[in-house]
Amino acid sequence: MKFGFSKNLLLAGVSFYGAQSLAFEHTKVLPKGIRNFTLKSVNTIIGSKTNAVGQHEAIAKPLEKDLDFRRVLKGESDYLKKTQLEGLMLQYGFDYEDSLGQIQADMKGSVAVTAPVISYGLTDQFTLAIAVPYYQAKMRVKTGFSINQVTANRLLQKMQDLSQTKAANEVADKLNDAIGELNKKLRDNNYREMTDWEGSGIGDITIAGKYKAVDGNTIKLASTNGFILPTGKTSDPDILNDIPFGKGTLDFFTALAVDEYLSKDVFFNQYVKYTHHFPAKRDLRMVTEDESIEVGKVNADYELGANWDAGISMQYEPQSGFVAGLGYLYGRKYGDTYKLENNPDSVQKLEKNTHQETQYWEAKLGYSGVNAYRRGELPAPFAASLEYKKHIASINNFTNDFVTLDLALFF
Amino acid sequence: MSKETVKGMILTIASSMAFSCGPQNIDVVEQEQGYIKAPDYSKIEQGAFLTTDTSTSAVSFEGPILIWKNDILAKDVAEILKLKDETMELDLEYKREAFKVEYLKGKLAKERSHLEEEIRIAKSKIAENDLDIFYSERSKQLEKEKDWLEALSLGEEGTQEFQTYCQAMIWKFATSDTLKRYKFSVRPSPLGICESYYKDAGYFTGSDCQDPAEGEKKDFYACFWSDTGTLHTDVSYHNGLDLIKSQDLIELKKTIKFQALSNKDLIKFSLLKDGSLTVKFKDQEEVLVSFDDSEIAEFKDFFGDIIRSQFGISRSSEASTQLKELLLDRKNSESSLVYSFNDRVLNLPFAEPINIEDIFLISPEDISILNNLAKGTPQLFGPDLSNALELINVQTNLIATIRPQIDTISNILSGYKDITNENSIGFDLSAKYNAWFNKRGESADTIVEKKMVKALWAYAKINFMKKGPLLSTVFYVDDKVVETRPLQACFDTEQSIQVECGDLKLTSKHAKMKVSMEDPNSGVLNFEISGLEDPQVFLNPTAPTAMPYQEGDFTQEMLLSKTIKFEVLSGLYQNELPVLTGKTFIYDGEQKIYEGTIGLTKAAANL
Repeated sequence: MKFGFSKNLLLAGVSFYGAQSLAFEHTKVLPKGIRNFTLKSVNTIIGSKTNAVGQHEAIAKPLEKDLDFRRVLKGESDYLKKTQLEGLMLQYGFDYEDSLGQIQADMKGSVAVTAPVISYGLTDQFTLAIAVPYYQAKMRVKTGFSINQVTANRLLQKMQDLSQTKAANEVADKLNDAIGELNKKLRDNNYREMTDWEGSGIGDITIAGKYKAVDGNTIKLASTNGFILPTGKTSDPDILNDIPFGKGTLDFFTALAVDEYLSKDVFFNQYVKYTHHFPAKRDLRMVTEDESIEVGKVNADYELGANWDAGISMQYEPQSGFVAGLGYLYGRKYGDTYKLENNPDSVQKLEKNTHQETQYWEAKLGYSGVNAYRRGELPAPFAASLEYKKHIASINNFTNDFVTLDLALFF
Repeated sequence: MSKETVKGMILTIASSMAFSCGPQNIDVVEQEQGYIKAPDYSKIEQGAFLTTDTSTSAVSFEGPILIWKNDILAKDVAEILKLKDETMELDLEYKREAFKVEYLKGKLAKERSHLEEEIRIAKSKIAENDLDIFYSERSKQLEKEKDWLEALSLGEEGTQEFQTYCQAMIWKFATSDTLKRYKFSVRPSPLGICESYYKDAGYFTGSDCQDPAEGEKKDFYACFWSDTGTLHTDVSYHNGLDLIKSQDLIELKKTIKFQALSNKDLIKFSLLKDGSLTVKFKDQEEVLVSFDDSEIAEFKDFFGDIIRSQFGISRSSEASTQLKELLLDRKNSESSLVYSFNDRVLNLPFAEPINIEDIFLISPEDISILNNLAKGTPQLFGPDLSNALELINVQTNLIATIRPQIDTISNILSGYKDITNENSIGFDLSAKYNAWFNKRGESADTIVEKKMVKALWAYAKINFMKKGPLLSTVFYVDDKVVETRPLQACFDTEQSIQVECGDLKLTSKHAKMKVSMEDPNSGVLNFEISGLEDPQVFLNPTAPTAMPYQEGDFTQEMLLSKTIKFEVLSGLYQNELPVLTGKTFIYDGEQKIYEGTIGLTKAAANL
C-alpha cells in the first residue's frame, strides 16, 4: 500500500519575503549621509493554494491521495505478492481505479519573517540597502484515512472466500493503520514522518541600490537594482511539509518606479520589476507523476523561471505625518527548468505547475515623524506603518494574505 | 548618534520583535482513521485438531501444493485462480453430498447401535430380574435343605470326590458370563448341594462375599476371585508351569502378554472382570495383562479344560448321575430354553446352555410337575413350591412391560436400510466424484502444460489425528508421478510445543518434520521439513519415480539439501467446505528461494 505526494505541489517555491513584500513602492531615496534602520515584520498563515487554473484548494489536498489498486500494486515491492494481487483483480473483476480508501488531511502553516533593513544615502540620488530576513515558521498537519468500505469489504470477502484469511487480515490491518503504513513508507525511504514541523533561520539576503533619476515636482522616477543572495535554506528533500526560507538561487533584479504627484500630499505610483534567477544546484527528490516517495535524491541543476512584478498605488502623505495608501499588485513567474539526465519523467514532474501568477490588493496606514522631526517636534525621525495585503487571485500560488509592520528610524 | 536616536532604535527593534515574536498559533482539524473489521479466523475445523476435547478424532486434507515461478504473470495467476475456483466448485458439490452420506452413515450406525443397546438392556433387565429371583429363592431353599445336603456327602468314599467336584464348580462359576455380567441381592451359589461343604471349608467368607444390604445388589466377581473363592481351592497352581502348560498357552495365544508366563514361576493369577488378568510371580512381581472379549472366551475354554482335568471332570460327566439324568430327561422332553425351576436350581452353574439374553420362562406345567416331585422326593427337589405362581406373575408382568418395547425397537431397526451403501440412502456420489476428480486432473495438467508454475504436487495430504491435547500431523504426497513417505510430527495443543508422538507414532523416520503454532488465536500451523539431503529418502522408492521428468515436477535441485515450509490455516470455503490453506516456501539455508501456495480441502471417506 502506498501513497505519493508531490513535494513541489506542497510547499516548494514558497518565499514570503520577496518582491511582493516590498509593498508600497515609491521613488523616495535617503538624503546623502542619512541612514535608515527599518524593522519589517511579516506574518501570514498558509492554508490553501491555487492550482494551474486558479482554483482554490487546501494545501493538504496533495496528501489526500486515493489508495486505488493501481497505487497499491505500484507500492508493492514484492513481485510475487504484486502479481498475485493483480491476478486476483483480473479474475474477480476489480478495476485498477477501484479505491480502497483515501487519506484525509488538514495542514496549515504559519510564518513570521522579521527583516532588518539598513539603508544609507550615498548621494542625494542614490541609496544603498541591505535586508536580512529571519524566518520563524511552523507547519501543523493531521492525517487520517477514510476506508471505502464497499470495495475493501469486497476484497476481504473475496480473499476469505479463497481461504486467504491471514492475507485478508494483513490487508485489513494495513487499512486500519494506513497512516502508520504511510509513515513507515516514508521512514523506509528516509523521509521524515508526516508530523508537525517547525523551523527558523535566515532567509535570502537582499542587497540593492536605488537611484532617483528624475525628481520633478510632478513626476519622479527611480530605478532599483540589486541581488538576492541564496543564504536561506531551501526545501529539505526529506521533509514533505517543511517551509523553505530561500530559493537557493542567486537573483538579480531591476525595477523602475514612477510617482506622479496629484498634489503636494497625494501621488500615484507605478512600478515594474524583473527578477532573474541564475542557475543553481540543490538536492531534490527525483519524483515522477506516479511516484514521489520511493525515489532517490540527486544534486540537480535547475533554474527558476524569471519574475515580472508590477503594481499601481495611490498614496497619501500629508504634512501631519499620517500616511495611507491603496494599491494593486500583479506578479508573474515563468516555469522552472530542471536538468536531470535520463530522467524525463522526473523533469516533467518537477517542472509541472511551476509557473505562477498572483494578484493582491494592498492597503496601508501609518505615521511618519520625519516632518515633525523637521519641525523640531520629535527628537528623532521615525516612521511606522501597518500594511495589509489581500490575495485576489493566483495560479499555482498560495492564497494567503500578509500583514506587515514596518518600523523605521532615520539617523 | 544622539541618545534619542539610540533610544528610538531600541524602541523600534523592541516593538518589531514584540509584533513578530513568532508564527501565530494555528489549529488543524483532527482526522479520523477509518476501521474495517478483519475477517475472523475460522475455527470450525479446529475441532479436529485444536480443541482439548479428550476424545480421539481424525481428519484429512488433500489438494495441490504449487511453487510459483519467480517471473509468473498476473494473467497466469488469474487463470490458476479460475481453475481453482472451477475445481473447488466441483469439490464442494461432491463433498457436500459425501459429507452428508458420512454423517448419515454415522448417525444411522449410532442410532442402530443405540437401539440395539436398548434391546440388550431390556432383555438383560428381564434376565437379571429372573436370575435374582432365582438365586434369592434358592438361597432360602438351600437353608431348608441343609440336612439333606449333609446327607448327600455320600459317605467317606464319596467325600473327596464330592469336595473336588464342588471346587470345580467354583472355578466354573467364576469364569462364567453369569457372574461377570450381573449383580445379585445374595451371594450366588456355584451349586446348591455344595453350599454345606463351602461353609464348612471356609469358602466365601471374605468381605467381598458378604451379602449386600436389603434391597441392594452387589457384584460378586471379586468374591469368587478372592482368597476364599477360587484361590482357596486345591488347585496347585504355584507349580503352575506344569499344571497350566504355559507352552500351550503361548502357542494358543501367541501374544506377548503370555510370554511372560513361560519363564517365571507363577504363584497365582486372577481374571478380573474387565478382562484383564493379574499374574503374580514368586518374586512378587505383579503383571497385569489384558484380554479382549474373544481372548477371554478362548482363555476360559482352554482354562476350563485344565480345571476339569485337574479335578478329573470331563465335559460329559460333570454332573452326578442323578442330576445328569434329570437334566437330560428335561432337555429331551422340553425346549432347551425352557427349564423347570429345580433344573435351574441344581444345574444352572455348570449347565450353561442357557442363553442369558433369552428370557427365562417357567411354564405352568413345570410348576405342577415340580410340586409333585417335591412332594414325592423333597430331599432332591426341595419343599413344596406353593409360591411358584407368584414368581410366574412377577416374570410375566415384567415381560409384558418390556417385550413391547423390544418389539418396537426391533421394528425400527428392521426399517433401517443398509447404511453401508450411500445409494440405499438416496445418494449417488460417483458422478459428482468423477466430475471433481477429472477436473482436478485437468486443472493440474493445464497448469503444468502451460508452464504457469515452477512445480506442482497435485495430490498432497495432511492428516490430523487428535487424542486429548496431542495432535498428530502427517504429511505426504501421493501424486500421479511421485509418492513420498509420510512424515509425522506431533504437537501439544495445550502447551503449544512439539512433543513425542507416543502411541500415535508412525514408523517414518526418513526426514525431519517440525510443527509449531504461530499464534494460538489465529491457529496458523507451521510445518518445516528438513533433512532432505537425499530426496530419494523422502520420495518413496517404491513409487513410480522412475517416470521421466516432466515439466512442473519438483526437481532434485529444488529439494536437495533444502527445507520445505508450510504455513497453513484452517477455514471454510464458501462457509461450507473445510479447507487448509496457506503458503509454501523452499529455503536454502536461511534464504527463501521459492514461494508457493498450498490449498487442501477436507477429504471425504473413500468411495
